[in-house]
Amino acid sequence: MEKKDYLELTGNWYEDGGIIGFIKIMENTYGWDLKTLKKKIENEEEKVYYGYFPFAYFTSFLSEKYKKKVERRTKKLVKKLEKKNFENKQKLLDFVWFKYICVAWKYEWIEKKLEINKEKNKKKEQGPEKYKKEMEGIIKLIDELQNDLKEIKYNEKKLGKKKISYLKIKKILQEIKEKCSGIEIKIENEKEMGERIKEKCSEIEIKIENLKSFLKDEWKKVIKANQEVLNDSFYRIPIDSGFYKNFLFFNNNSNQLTQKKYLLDLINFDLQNSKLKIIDKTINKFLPSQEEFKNINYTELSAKEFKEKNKYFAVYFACFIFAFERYGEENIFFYSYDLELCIKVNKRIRLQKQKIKEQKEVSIFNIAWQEIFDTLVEYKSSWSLENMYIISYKKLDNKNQEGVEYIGVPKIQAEMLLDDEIREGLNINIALKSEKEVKKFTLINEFVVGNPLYPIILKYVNSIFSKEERIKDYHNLLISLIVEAHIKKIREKNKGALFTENFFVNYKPLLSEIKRDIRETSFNASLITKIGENRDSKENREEKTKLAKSLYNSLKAYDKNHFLNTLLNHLNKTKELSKNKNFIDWVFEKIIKNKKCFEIYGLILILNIMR
Amino acid sequence: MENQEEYREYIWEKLEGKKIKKIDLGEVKAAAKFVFKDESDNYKQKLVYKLLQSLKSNNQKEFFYILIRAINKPGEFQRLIQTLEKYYDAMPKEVFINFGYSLIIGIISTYGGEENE
Repeated sequence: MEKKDYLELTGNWYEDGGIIGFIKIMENTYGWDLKTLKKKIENEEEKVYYGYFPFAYFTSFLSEKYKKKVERRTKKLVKKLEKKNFENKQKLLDFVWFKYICVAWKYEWIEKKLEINKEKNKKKEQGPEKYKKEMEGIIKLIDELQNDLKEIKYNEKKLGKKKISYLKIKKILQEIKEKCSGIEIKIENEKEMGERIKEKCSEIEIKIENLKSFLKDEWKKVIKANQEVLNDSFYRIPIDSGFYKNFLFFNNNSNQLTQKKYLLDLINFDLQNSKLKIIDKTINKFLPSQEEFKNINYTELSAKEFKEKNKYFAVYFACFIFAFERYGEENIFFYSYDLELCIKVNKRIRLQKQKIKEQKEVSIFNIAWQEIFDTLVEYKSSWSLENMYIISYKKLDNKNQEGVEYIGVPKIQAEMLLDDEIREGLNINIALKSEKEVKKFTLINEFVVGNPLYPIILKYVNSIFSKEERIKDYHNLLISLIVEAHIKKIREKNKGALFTENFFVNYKPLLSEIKRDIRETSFNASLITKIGENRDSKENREEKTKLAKSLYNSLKAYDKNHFLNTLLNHLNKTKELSKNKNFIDWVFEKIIKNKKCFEIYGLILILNIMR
Repeated sequence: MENQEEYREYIWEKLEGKKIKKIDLGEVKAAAKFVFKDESDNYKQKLVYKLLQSLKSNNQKEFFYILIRAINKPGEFQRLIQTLEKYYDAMPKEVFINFGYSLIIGIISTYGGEENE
């Protein structure tokens, strides 16, 4: 039987996002590229999903400083798994769980348990009696210390916080001790008091160290799979995710055994026993809830279908969030149906993270699109470009989804972008100054998401008037405007139709039409510069600017009558240009006869006058 | 068709009985070019100036008054009169504008006799 490719993209972005997330965590943990990962799955599928994956997944939730510490452990795991064979999946998972996942989590678990949490302690804390007692003692001592400090008018605000990590406490205590040693005797007993405080600090330090070694011993029990501790949720692996509350190993009440069981259930995904029957908001926050699904009257998005197509689909659902990369406030993920392209682009965007930090005004989207184009040009993949999305969000948790956006590239825009001349033409920046701020536009980015370019260029022309400058980058602006004019025409023509003739022929004829128009317009519209005698004289320039301003005003008011009246009045005066057949025909065809976008060609004329 | 919004959609065509009548602006331009080609530039410049003024204020009555006075001559002017007969109608504003400018650009293109390329 032919081996199944479990990493094949399906076309469902929420499932494919999971596959990308899965590949990403495997690469981050083991350094495997797609090819290696595929080979591993082909040769030892069970080991990948029940051995390598659980370790990669659980260590992905470690904080950055502890992630680095597990590198050696990871190498060991790979060596071990390559040699060792296991009776069954359960045994394999148990081995990885206790010997590797739990070991990797040791220090972070201890740090979390040593956190001084004054609020939490008021409630009933779980865990061994000794821990509770010691913790209470430490908190009591800290309170006493605070009171003592008040007496010598030493205000240590940091100690008053409700939650303090033990590392921070240690640092604060050290500082207090140093300050108390250097105290000047101002009031009676002060020196004595200083000594007392120092003693108290040391006492707290010792208590914390003792508790730390106690916790270390406790965690050893976990690694040895001591049944007693495994049943206590105090010893659970402290992973948490606002996104995935419904995957039960994130549940705060689960213990080690249930966490492990839920993980195994997730990988196995037994349809009959699983509670997860329908795919909806409970499994991925980007999806609607079951009631909100629009097609629910026809069919449910049932887990059965997914399982039939890909038996590890639930694993991918759990990895979905890893597809995203955080950039400042934004979390973004590039998606396309082409797996390799998807991985390549996401990686390239990730490499640009540094750049974003350096140039604060550059938005992540600018960088993202730039990387996408660069990759695509290398790749020359028209099919992928037509189906690209950037999915982004600001914040997601159980209740709120903030700033979620799906940006797709419309097919027609995509086709245009694959052409070098057009892409380079569109690749210019325009800065528009308003009263409050300077807004920067990169035309290609606006174009990609289907925003109109004409208003931006019109505003730019206005800024040229006020600064008394000449137009720069004329050729780029010309290309941008002509591309827009043609897209506008096509849109008008195909209004309401879902699949048009052009959809299937890939807009190739349109592309050559655009290029012809660029050539013709570039020549014909430039003829307007021939108005008047003594072309380089100051008077001529002033007259031209006056004409351009008048034409601009009519475009701003979208007044075709006024525009043509001004233009033809001028032509009437300057006979030389009116004799030029090319120019006259161009004005007739592109402006007078044009009922869809005369303004775009009108603006091109203005650009020519102001060059 | 009385509704202005509806008319906007049909700027270039008009339903007459069961027939769709389309305005061919190229024909208007060509006719104007043909009949004015032998007139003097000075005369045409003045005429165009007046026509532009009436177009600017969207004054159809004045536009056609000026135009018909200018072509109210025997001979080749008949061709433009035929075109006018074919298309003249109470046109909505936007149709009138495009019609008017097509005609004017036809006249303008005849300045100086032979055309340059």
